[in-house]
Amino acid sequence: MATFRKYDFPNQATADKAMQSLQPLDNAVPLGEIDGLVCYDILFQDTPPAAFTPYIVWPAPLGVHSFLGWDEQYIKDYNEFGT
Amino acid sequence: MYSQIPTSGAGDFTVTRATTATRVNASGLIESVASGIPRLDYFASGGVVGCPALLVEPAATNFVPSGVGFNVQTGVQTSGVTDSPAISINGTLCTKNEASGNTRYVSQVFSNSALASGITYSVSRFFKYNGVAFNTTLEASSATQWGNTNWKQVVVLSAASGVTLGASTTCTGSVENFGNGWHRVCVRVTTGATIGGASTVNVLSELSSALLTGQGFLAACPQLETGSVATSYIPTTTAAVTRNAEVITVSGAVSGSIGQTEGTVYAEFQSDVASDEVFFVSRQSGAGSNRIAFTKDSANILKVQLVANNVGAVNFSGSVSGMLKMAFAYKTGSSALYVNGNFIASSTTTFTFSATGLTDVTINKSSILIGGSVLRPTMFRAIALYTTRLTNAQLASLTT
Repeated sequence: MATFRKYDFPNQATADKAMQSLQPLDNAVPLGEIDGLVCYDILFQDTPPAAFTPYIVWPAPLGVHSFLGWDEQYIKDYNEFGT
Repeated sequence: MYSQIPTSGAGDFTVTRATTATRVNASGLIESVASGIPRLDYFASGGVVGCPALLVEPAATNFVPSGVGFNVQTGVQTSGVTDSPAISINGTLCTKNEASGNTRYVSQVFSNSALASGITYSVSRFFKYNGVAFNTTLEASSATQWGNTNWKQVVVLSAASGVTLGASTTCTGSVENFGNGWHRVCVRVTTGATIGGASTVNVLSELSSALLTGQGFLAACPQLETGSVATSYIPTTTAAVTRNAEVITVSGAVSGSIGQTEGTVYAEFQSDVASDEVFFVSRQSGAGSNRIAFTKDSANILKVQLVANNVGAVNFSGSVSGMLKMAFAYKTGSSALYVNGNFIASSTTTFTFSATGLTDVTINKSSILIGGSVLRPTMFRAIALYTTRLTNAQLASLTT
């Protein structure tokens, strides 16, 4: 099952390094810089790789971006892990 | 996704798209399709819903944070207005834009963040004539937000023609008839070098005097996305939303259905714009690779490339448009391409596939094999493989 997560990286180089562990069907959407951090939304085809774990964030749903059809799942995960 | 033949399941495709998406259904309405489900799109041609086709699209993001409508302002009604195609997604997606005294225009946030510089974007929105001839526009409300590109597209609503385009300034426009009076206007804009703030778009009356209160037009489903093509509508409510790409592929036992020394590939499809990868038979690259690639460029040139043991052996090209029927027959020393019953090209080049063979059929896989990474919406009505090289007369008959 796919997994929708949000990440803040301290800089682009750190983001690029983590992105190397993406699988072919994962979809990473760059959101640009928000408050000086490099932000991505990623819809993983499966479980997120460990390389992303330190950078996960839980903005209040749904932040500035979502994946079509994944709003409810993000809100559920936010309530379980992000609060 | 089932293949008609073989019935063993060896030819069934795996469809991957991890997000919901939308399609036009048999009633001509836009509706949602669950993740991983292929989309049969009953796209309208000239306003008449036609024969469906498999819609395959790249990933896209609709930056418009609220597809519901404009911010509440004088002259805009954002609730209680329903009409297709918008009602099929959400009864509040349709807005009625009314004149009210001298206030005849409104603006809408089309992106919560600044756009990128030097990029082509597509701005699209559905319009419908609502009883009063009316000229309106889609246009930048602030040129600085678009890198000092002060673009403007006049949209003409009339009883006789529905929705047509007027003058285009620093942009190019197109309009597509979706039926029931609804038309989708798409405007392509390339941003300048220096972007100033998040983007907004005006819908502005072009009339010299105000209409009566209550007169206006209907609008729905705004979308702002990168690239020169408006892809299928991506509903939004509070934030930008991404639809993932479709990847449709079959491998493994299907190799028994692919002619390994000779064969014929038939396809009926439409790709209106340049696409570096329409579909492949055996999507391989590198040493020992074998592949047959079907692509299309921005000048509407269909290109067929056969690579055997990592050597380009056959390269055909021909001008095409609209939904086309294509048959490519391959055999060492005797290959040919037919489109819509017409001979396009032939080749006497000899080739030998490596032992890897021809292994899969793949549609829309997003990585670079040929000349770039551009993927565009494509609609398929059929793909068929034959394990023999059909005769030229058969190719002509098959594609007629």
